[in-house]
Amino acid sequence: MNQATRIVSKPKRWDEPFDPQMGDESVDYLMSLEPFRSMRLDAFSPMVPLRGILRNDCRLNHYENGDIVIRQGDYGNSAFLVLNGEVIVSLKSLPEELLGRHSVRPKSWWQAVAQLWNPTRHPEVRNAAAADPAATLKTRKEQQHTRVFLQDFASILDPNQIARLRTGEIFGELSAITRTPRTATVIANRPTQLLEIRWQGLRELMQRDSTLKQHIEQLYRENSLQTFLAETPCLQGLPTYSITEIAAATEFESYGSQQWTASYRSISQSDIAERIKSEPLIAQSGDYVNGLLMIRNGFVRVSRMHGSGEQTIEYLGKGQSFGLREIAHNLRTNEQRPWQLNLRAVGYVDILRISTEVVERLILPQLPSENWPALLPPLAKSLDTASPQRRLSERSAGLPSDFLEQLVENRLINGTQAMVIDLNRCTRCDDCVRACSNAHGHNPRFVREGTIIDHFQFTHACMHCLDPVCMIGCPTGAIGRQQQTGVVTINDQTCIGCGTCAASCPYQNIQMVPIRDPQGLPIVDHQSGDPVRKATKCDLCVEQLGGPACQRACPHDALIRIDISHPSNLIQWIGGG
Amino acid sequence: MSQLPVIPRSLFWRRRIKSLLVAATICSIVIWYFERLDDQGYHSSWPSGYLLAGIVLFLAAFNLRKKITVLPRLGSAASWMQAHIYIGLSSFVIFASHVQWRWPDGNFERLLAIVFLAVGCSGVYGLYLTRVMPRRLYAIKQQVIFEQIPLKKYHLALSARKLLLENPQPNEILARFYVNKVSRFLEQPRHVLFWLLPSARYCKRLLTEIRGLDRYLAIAERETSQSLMQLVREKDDLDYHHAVQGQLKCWLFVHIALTYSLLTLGTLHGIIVHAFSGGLR
Repeated sequence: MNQATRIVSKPKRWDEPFDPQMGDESVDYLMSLEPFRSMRLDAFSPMVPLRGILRNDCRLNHYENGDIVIRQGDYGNSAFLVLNGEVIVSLKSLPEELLGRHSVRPKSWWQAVAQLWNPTRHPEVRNAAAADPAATLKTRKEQQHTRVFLQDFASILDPNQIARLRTGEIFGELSAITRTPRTATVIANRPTQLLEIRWQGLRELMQRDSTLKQHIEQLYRENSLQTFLAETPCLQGLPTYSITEIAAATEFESYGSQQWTASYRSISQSDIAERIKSEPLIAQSGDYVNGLLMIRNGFVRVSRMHGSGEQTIEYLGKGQSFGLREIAHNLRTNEQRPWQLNLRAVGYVDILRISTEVVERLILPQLPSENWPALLPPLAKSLDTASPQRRLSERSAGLPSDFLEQLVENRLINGTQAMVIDLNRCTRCDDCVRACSNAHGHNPRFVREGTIIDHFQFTHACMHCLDPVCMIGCPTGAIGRQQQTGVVTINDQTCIGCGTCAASCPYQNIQMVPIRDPQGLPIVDHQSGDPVRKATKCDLCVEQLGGPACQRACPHDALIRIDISHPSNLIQWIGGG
Repeated sequence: MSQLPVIPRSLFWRRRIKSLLVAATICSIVIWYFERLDDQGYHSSWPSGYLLAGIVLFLAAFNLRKKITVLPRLGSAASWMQAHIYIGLSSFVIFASHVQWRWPDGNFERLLAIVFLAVGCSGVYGLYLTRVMPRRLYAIKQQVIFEQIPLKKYHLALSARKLLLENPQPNEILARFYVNKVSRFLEQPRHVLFWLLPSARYCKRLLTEIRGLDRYLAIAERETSQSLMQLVREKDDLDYHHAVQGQLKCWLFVHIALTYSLLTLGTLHGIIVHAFSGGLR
């Protein structure tokens, strides 16, 4: 068949280098330094050589005395190597205000009443002086980057609660690899040069350099793995010595891309079967069961072959495991049944793999008999489509298959506070929008539009995601997650309007808005004359006394804020369970 | 952060039955009490009047509650709505007891009764609309925001104009039919009856007529005809949304306007009965 084609160059690994300014001179300089000097060049594949990693996955950053390198609580996808100079790690949490965040306190009753008489009718009104980030943060420009610095930081830090990192030491690697919040704030103690390595490069270096790999894995095993394992449902109740032994035998794997938002947007219009096939396969039905897989971060799609395609039957998130049923079945029956279902990475996923031998030796014998998973259905029944025993998963049974499919497709499973509207009850009265507007100085923070699945609309309001990609790359730390509530908020005063968060949000739930003064005059930058913009989004009415105004304002029980990362919540609300 | 009680979708019927039973029980007790008062020689119209005034004030306060959603501890709008529905329905019974189960004699009392019943009936009609229309709206392929409908209609009309009149190879038959019939449908508001009882009848007739023109069109020209039919369907969907969403907004406007009249007349009624009764008994 003669079909017309469009010829393009196939996208390559390093089409978009981390820093286009990195040249041969910088790479030569890095190659002369430890640890790169000692690395064996032949350990790297010709397709991904060490020089290539340094050129494309790294950038050289210069920090002045007092510059904040990373903040506690930020999400990041890169690690830092000290090339020269010194940084200080604050082992004690610093005040939120110092880091550019704001601690949100609910309004008092009086303030709640007073806001009803807010006279302004202009959109996005701010006090011009307070809207200037310089009023609350000390910032300076370093090439195209904005650096926040602390003046006289020595008086702020407790000398007994700091650690000093000098040339050759690495930091930030755990949160870069595990996609978890930074655990400490790091500040440059003198003019310092750091090599920032994005996670793809770090992963490559770990694969090729066993010393680095062991170092990072050891750190993780020591710091968090045992706690994670002990909290995992299928391992709960095991004695500490078993957990320690399991932790020592656990292997780390990661699938997919941390920058999944870009690929998600580009492939979202493609054919559904193609999209599923583009998701990295972690386990394939029919293959040998080589271990218990536990999800450390991200989401996985559990699917089975159905006709010529794959049918999603459930999704799993952090702390959940896959494969215990097969291993337990094989141990009890002496059969050798393979994986029954496919497991695919949705976005970026971190997996912990515990080998089948370890599960059979350490986990199953100590598991109370009532906690053993049920036997797999007999082979004949698993092929019989009419048999109720054919079903291999009960967890998402309350959701229609197509509903589940689309939830995963649209990555809505990321939402911990998604706004869902039942269109069969919604009278389109817009009371929710009005309530939101009243709670935010006459500025609604969502649009009553969004993906519709069945008769439920997943509205364009911030979902306060489990994996908040919007929080990566904010230069001033203005966007952050409230530790107590998990709500993602933006500090209006320290937002510089760069738009990084809005561009990162895959759901288009962050809006950049030009601001005005109380008289309605546009506020412009004194240098460029450009309008000053701020990032805005739903803050779940964190300052209001009664919680999300949208949900409280809906008279028809049509709107709910709901955690979709656990399907049970949705099943309960829909009433399917 | 406060967590509102969440009722599974499939359990609304249980809430409905429970609320109806509670409302019916309370009404029965109140009516029995009023009957007993009358039997003992007291005027039950005093307590029933005060009860009715309280109910009307509470029901009217729902609109106020909707405007102050940011205040806590006032309950969710959904809870108020439930109370509004069942107390509103109960008010018919209290009203009947207040007027001694007969039509009032005086002109002013008749007017007050008419306004009361109009408010109540508009409420029941609104309840019907809010329970039935959302499903009908969802059945339409596209979901649109009310305020965006005029702009979308404008773009549709523009697309049709471009398709037929600015086509480099215009078809005379289609263009003439467009000018004579379709342009009016796409560019002008629908008949007043459509706003009250929206239906797809006219759209279907128009589509049949366009389809009927196919026999005079070359195969390539039928694509234009198909595109025109698609635009007509989209316009009909938008009109349907406009009419139904308009109804959902209009009934509330009428309901609230009548409520203000009821509050005014009710206050006057209270003043008059106190002025001419010789005081409370």
